[in-house]
Amino acid sequence: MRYLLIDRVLELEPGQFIRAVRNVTLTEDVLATHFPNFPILPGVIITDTLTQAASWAYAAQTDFAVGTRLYTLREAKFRRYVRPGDQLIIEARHLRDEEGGCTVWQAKALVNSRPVASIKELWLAPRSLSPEAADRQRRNFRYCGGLVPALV
Amino acid sequence: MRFYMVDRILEVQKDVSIKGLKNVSIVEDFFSGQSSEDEPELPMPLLIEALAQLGAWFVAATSDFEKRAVLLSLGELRFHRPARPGDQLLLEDWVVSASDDNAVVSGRIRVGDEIIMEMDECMCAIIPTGNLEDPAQMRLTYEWLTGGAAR
Repeated sequence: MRYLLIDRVLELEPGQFIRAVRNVTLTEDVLATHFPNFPILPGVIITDTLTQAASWAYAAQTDFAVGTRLYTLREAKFRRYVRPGDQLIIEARHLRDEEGGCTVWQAKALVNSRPVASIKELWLAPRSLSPEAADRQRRNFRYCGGLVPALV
Repeated sequence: MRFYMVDRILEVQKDVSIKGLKNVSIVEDFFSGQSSEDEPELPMPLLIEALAQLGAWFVAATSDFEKRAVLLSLGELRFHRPARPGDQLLLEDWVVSASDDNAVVSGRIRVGDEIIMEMDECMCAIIPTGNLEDPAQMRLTYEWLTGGAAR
């Protein structure tokens, strides 16, 4: 299983906002057992996708030299089943910065303009990456990006 | 890949709590080298999945496999450190409230004595197992998760 969670970046304002696409297909490994009689994308994988999107939007303002680690999550809601054939539109928006250094984001996933999952607060702890890890992150972003911002 | 985030069920106390184990290994697909981390670490949200799946086992085991849980909402999660290959995660869920239609559990994950993650109020819908999978197969899986001998 690949563990890259975003297919394409549609829109990016570094440090502020990101909109991205995540296609859901029946060939995905997790759908074999989740669930045998009714494949649905696990809510937690959606959570991870939202986290990844916010993390990239944050990292983009540092040319991906800084990464983030999920520190706290508040109030996630999973409203609808996400099924093979659905196209998730992922949006993450910066809310504020916390004193301890965390950057706080809200995020949601939509299918056909209807929200399927939302997270009120994602607290991400920034961490500097080694040059190799930063390169990897930059490459991952480009690979999924489609959109290459001027600063990359 | 089996998307099973529980390797073993250690203890079930009906209406109260469940404990289980998840072993983290470098052979797992999540560590496929695409991470931007310098050291391999399990993506944090998969820790939530481990506790949520443990909760689903709890509902199944205490309903004779007729019912299981699907995730509705999460209250607050605090991540203290990532899980890394070689870690053996002790998973614990306890019931906060429960009805016929839904259940709320809280939980935590320890490695040895260290708490690496805490979860407050994960709400699940309780639905018929057959909607999602075969109850008989789920019962068999439960038997080997609890250490039952193959027959």
